[in-house]
Amino acid sequence: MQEDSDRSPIGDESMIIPIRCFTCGYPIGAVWEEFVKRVRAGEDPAKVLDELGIKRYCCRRILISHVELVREVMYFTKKS
Amino acid sequence: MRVKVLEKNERSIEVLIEGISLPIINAIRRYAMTQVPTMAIDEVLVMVNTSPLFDEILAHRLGLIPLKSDEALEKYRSPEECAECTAYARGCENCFAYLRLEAAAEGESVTVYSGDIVSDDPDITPVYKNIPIVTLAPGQRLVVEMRARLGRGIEHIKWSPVTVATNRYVAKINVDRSRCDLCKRCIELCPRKIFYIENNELKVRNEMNCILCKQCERSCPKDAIMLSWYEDKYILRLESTGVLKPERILSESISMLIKKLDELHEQMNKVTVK
Ligand code: SF4
Ligand code: SF4
Ligand SMILES: [Zn+2]
Repeated sequence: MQEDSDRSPIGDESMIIPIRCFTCGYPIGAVWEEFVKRVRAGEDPAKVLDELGIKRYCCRRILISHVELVREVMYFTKKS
Repeated sequence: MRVKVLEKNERSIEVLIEGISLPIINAIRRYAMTQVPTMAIDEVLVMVNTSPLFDEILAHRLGLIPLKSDEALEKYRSPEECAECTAYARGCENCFAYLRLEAAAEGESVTVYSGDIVSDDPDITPVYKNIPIVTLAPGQRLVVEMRARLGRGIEHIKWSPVTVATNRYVAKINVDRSRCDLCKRCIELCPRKIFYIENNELKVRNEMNCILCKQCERSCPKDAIMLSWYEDKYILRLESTGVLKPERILSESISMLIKKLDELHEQMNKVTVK
């Protein structure tokens, strides 16, 4: 068995906010920017999600746990 | 038969249906998920993509963007007709809507949104304008052409007009008041706040909200609660992704089911009359 501990638990598909919720298909991409903006401004994430109409925990977990890695990897693409 | 709308708004519809058996309601639900056609981007021609996302991931993301489909059902041919069409490869405008997306980051990084997609058909546009598709670093560029067509959820979930489609039972909650000693355990446990005490008696409200989790029945120390459900009452709930109005999804789903059954009826008659 190979050691897996070095690997990032976040795969490619988590690099940028998914368009849809993996579980129910709700278009969560549409609320991402407002969610981040308001949470960064200090609002309670649970309250923001409620107000944005994100009711199910399948959608909530994606928005809460998402790390926007694309902003870091975007500089490391092949030149063309 | 009786139908009552319990909830209706831009995104979802919930109806109470009395007097139809569960399998039929379930068929309507499944037709809503898998058979009602909508528009979605199906083919992506990548001309330039120096963004951090691979072409395939980009195409996948584009496919998942909900497109307004209200007019599309009349305007475009059904997926079955298009699949048979010989002009398919060339692409005729009865089958396809054409869309384009062009973006470039000059001095600063740029986020490309669903609203940046330009559609040739003003009826087929993204429902939400603010879905991030990709972020471009300075110097990166993106030019893609897309074809959207009608499809069904059974082929790929991106064509499904609903996110959640459920039917549920309506609970019958019986409280044996002679056994209940008002210990309030059920009040504390019920996630739907169904129970309350009034005039020294345990009362039930909004039975329709009960999700039949049976927490109350299982935990009542006096065995005073008996749960069951109505045999001919069901709640059907559809939540739209935004591509079609929820009531439209419901009516399309029913009419498609009827059409299928008519077809079957006709075939059956032919076969058996022989
Ligand atoms: S848990 Fe049972 S005994 Fe206690 S209040 Fe509820 S019904 Fe009555
Ligand atoms: S079954 Fe669950 S939701 Fe229904 S009344 Fe009992 S505890 Fe509440
Ligand atoms: Zn979800």
